[in-house]
Amino acid sequence: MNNFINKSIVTVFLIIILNALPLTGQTSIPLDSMKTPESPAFMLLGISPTNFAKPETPNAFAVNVLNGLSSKELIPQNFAIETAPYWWFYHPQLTFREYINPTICQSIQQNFSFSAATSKLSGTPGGSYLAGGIRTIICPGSFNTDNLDTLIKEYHVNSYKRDFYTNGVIPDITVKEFNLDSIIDNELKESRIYLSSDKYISEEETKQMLIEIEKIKNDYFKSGKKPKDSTEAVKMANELISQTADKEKLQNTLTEIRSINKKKTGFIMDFALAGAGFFEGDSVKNGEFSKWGLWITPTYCNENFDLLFILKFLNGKDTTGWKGSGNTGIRLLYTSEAFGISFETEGKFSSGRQPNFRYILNFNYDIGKNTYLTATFGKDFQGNIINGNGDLITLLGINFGLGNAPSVTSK
Amino acid sequence: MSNDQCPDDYSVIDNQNVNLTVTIGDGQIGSSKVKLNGQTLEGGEITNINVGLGKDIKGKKLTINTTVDKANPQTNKASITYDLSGGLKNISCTEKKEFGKDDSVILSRSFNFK
Repeated sequence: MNNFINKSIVTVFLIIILNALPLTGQTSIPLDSMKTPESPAFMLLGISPTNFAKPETPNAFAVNVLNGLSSKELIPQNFAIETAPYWWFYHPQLTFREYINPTICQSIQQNFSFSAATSKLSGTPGGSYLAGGIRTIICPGSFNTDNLDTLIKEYHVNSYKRDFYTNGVIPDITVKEFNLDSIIDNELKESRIYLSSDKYISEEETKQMLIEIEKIKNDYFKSGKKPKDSTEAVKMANELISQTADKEKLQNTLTEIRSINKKKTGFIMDFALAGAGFFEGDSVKNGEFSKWGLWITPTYCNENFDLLFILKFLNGKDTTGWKGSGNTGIRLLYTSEAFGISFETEGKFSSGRQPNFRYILNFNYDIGKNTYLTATFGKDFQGNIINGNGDLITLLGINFGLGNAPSVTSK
Repeated sequence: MSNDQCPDDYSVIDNQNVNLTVTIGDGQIGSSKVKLNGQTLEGGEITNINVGLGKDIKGKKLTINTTVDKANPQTNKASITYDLSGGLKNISCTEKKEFGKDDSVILSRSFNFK
């Protein structure tokens, strides 16, 4: 029945597609491009340097700045730096749980970054642009505590197994003879300590580990490898784990842990501010503050539903004075396993002009094997016409595994 | 407040239990194994575990081996704070290390109970 419905939907869509306007023009939704930039100073100058300094200590920061200033010009050219001062120092009391689910104050501190950049001023007599900006996350959202507990438990189980192999097997393969029984006895005792505390390892898992240890011992004796130090022993132990039934479990858990920030739910708000000025003829007396920008991106997301607001304001000075322009946008997104539907609206505001709006309704339906039917309808900005002479947007198509259902992330 | 330098010795009181907490800092994740004279006491997260009564552990050596895995992409730093209480005085000291090419580092610390 479901198959029939799927086929019917596909057929209907294909008929529509054959009768639709040519699928030319853009299909991507540009709202994401207005989200809070990682490096607001670069954004304000309109540059995207691929190779910029990211100092991680106060000393490295000082060296980078001094290196920049030591160039022959008053203002170094094509200088770009981005740094997060909070991470210049050790934070021994900041646990992983606190890092993942920080308070507002902690979030502001740990996500605060500073960026600065220069670029060449075109024309005669030339000169330089200089921009600086800050960015942080005011509201960090949260990661489900139950999921976090499960993930951390999983980490400890797999880390324990790594330790189990490291201490149980590796030191003994550095000598020609060793008593496997004593190793097993010793490790079994240690496993029972875990069992008795009922924290991580089940009895069945312990038995399985003991079977694996024998297999590993045999394989390693054949290979003749010997670790030089404890670090290498851990590395070898990781290789061992990847050869066992626990293949890549630890690495998978760590990968999942490292990507937690992308799976946060609740209220998330990014903030960035940047300012720029130019120095005509690279002369300080000709220096002028000429541009500033503000970005605020509040997002609310839960498992299926995302609500994204975008506020962007740019104020620039030209020969007639300061002129402001702003963009606001809202995206509502609902996703389920089979389909995603989103509505977004974006408004452009600038001094002396009428507000300009666009509205887009986007629908994605998963027809299987990572293939999506997509449909987009809406009204485009005036003066930015995609199809024909009007401002109507009608785009229909099939995405053959070239992307996923729409999603909103905090970054 | 923790000191950077960890002492080698810890003075116990005969009729008081010594407790240990190991805190992995810098937003990283780590797993520890605590041994007393070679015998494993506890593993994984170490929060206020009872090491033993002063008179029973006097003269023994407590070893804590911790593997820290990089979980925080914002820094290359790893630190471990050891908190020992129940002896003549409470101590809190921190060991620091940076990740190398591998995303895991091992830190070890021993305390002799006196």
